Amino acid sequence: MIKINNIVKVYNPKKSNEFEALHGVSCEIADGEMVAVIGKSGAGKSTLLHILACIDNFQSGEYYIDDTLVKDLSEKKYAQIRNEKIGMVMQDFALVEDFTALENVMIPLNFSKQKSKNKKEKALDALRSVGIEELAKKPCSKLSGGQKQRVAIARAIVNEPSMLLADEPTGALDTKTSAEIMELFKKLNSQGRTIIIVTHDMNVAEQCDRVIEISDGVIV
Amino acid sequence: MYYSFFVKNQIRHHRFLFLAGAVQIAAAFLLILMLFSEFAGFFSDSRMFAKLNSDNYLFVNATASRIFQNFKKHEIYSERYSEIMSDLMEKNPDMSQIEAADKTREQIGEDPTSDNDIDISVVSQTPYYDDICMIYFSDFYTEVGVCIRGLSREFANNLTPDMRSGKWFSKTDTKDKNIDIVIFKNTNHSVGEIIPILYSGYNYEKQTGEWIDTGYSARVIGICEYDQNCPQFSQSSSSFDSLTLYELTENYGEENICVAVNDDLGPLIEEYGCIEPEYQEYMGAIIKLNSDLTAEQLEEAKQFLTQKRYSADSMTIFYGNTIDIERNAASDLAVPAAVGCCFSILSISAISVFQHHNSKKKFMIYYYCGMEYGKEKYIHMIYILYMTLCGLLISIAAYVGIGLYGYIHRIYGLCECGYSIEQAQSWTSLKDYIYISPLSIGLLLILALIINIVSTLVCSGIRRKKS
Ligand SMILES: Nc1ncnc2c1ncn2[C@@H]1O[C@H](COP(=O)(O)OP(=O)(O)O)[C@@H](O)[C@H]1O
Ligand SMILES: [Mg+2]
Repeated sequence: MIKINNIVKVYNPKKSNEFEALHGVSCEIADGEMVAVIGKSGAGKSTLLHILACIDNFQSGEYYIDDTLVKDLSEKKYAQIRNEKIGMVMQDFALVEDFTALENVMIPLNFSKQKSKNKKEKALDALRSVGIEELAKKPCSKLSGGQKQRVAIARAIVNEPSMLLADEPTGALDTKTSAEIMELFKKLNSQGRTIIIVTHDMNVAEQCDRVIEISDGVIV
Repeated sequence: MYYSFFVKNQIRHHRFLFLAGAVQIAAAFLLILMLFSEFAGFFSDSRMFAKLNSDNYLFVNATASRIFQNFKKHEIYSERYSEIMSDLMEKNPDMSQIEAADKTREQIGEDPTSDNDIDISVVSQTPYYDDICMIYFSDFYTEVGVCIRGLSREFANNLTPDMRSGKWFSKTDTKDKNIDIVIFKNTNHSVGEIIPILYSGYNYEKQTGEWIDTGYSARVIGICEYDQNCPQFSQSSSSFDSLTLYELTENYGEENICVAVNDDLGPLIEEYGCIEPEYQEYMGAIIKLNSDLTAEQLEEAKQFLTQKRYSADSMTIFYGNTIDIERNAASDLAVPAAVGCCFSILSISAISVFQHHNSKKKFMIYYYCGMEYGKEKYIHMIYILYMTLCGLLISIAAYVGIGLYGYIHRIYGLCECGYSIEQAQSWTSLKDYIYISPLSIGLLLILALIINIVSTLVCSGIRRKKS
């Protein structure tokens, strides 16, 4: 379960270009939920997602993952949370283009505290579960958009995190491929993972259990 | 270490970029390696003569008019010699040539000017004369073609050449039946080696030169640095007007040069009677006057020598000129070297910054996937370290390659001159051509580390948030 309480996020604080992107956002997401976060461009969806993903900090408010407060932790601890508890999927896939699919999926395993000997096996398993095992040896630059997003999802789940965060995962894909990716998310959700998808595609939002709408930095 | 996964992949997927960086680093290192070996020998001439840098040492050489006079004397002698000899042989048809030559010499004596231009009997008459520094060629050899040169005791005591191994002569050397020698331009000897001494005498009966094993042996007590010149007072026309010690040293680099203290050769000289200074070709000498002379007294000594048609100049002048020349040579090299080094360091840093910049997106992804913020520095550092080590290996390989080429080139050159390949090899040590000191490698490693750290510091870290 994750819970945020009155999160305020200010970009470039105390500078001329200071900008408050989130003005006290609160919400709760239960384990196993599949939630869509919608809103206009610039509303603060990505900002919220980055805070949830522990890749960005915030000025005030609380953030709990499974009842532990995620604030002012050591850099090491944040890294561990990103590595073990959270899987990230981005609109632009965020893949290392010159690595192969397999190598991309192996990245989180190499930062993992748990030493696993069969990293390759684990990565191949993840690729298998997103249905592209046969592309393991292909460099990512040679893959199609849908394939890339599958690699990104495989990478997000390889460490078996409880939570998947996706920032407009279908934004760069055609309708047919988008539908396939959504099927994949639903499948992963049915296996018990919490999934939060940022989107402004209503088709995508409709397929989720719940929709949270953000407008100008507040939940409406 | 998890770094290896990222570094390995980065190298694997961008082999060309990695290699290009390594080659550039290698070029810089090679330059530094070569300059380093070059600089090590700098100022070796002045260092060797440092103890003689004093007013009471005078470099003495025959003036042109004295040489001309000697030449004239020699000509007159030769004319008379052949006159008398042909006369003798005409009158006594049975007489052998050797007999005739002996008879002729009986009549008119030895050639008064056989070669010596420094007449010790004259020079030693100089007021306040104390001792003399000379180097003689002897008829004793450690191998065919390599004669043992005799240093006067005073000279041996005051020379301080750079030694590679062993030591230079000292007054306290314990003497055994072997004669101590030091080798310049060593190609095939090591300290402690005992080498039989040969004598090359002209055998009148056989009308041939013959190499006789004297039964004496030389013991190598020291080997000089590769680029240490052996002092030799040359009287080639080019050095007449040159007031430098630099010109007094030679660097043929063709074969070993063995030197011994002349006194040590005493028993051999007695037995074979052939290293009397009068019989040796020597040109120029450094005479030592009593110390603490006044300017007038020094002038008096010089005056005497000038009257005897010798040039006489304080060693301080030679020393100063030598330093001048060496300094010029060093600064000629130092400026481009410094520029080259700075340029190399900068360009290596540029590679590092470029690579880091190129990898920013990658590092951001690593960060999403659970890399600790700031750890990308180490991934980058290890990557650059690999590149630097690879560069180091390439540069050493290239250095060895260049050395090997020089070695083969020389052996080939000697063979072209008609020497057998065995001879050529015995004169040439691969070590002289491929010599990498642990010091220079250590220096390169330190430099590599500095480059690595500096260039990593120059690279800013990734920004915390994807922009
Ligand atoms: N790094 C940043 N620095 C300053 N302002 C930012 C930064 N990132 C986003 N913003 C601003 O914060 C607001 C919310 O951005 P974002 O969360 O990316 O919106 P979106 O809902 O489109 O994902 C926008 O007005 C954007 O201009
Ligand atoms: Mg966004």
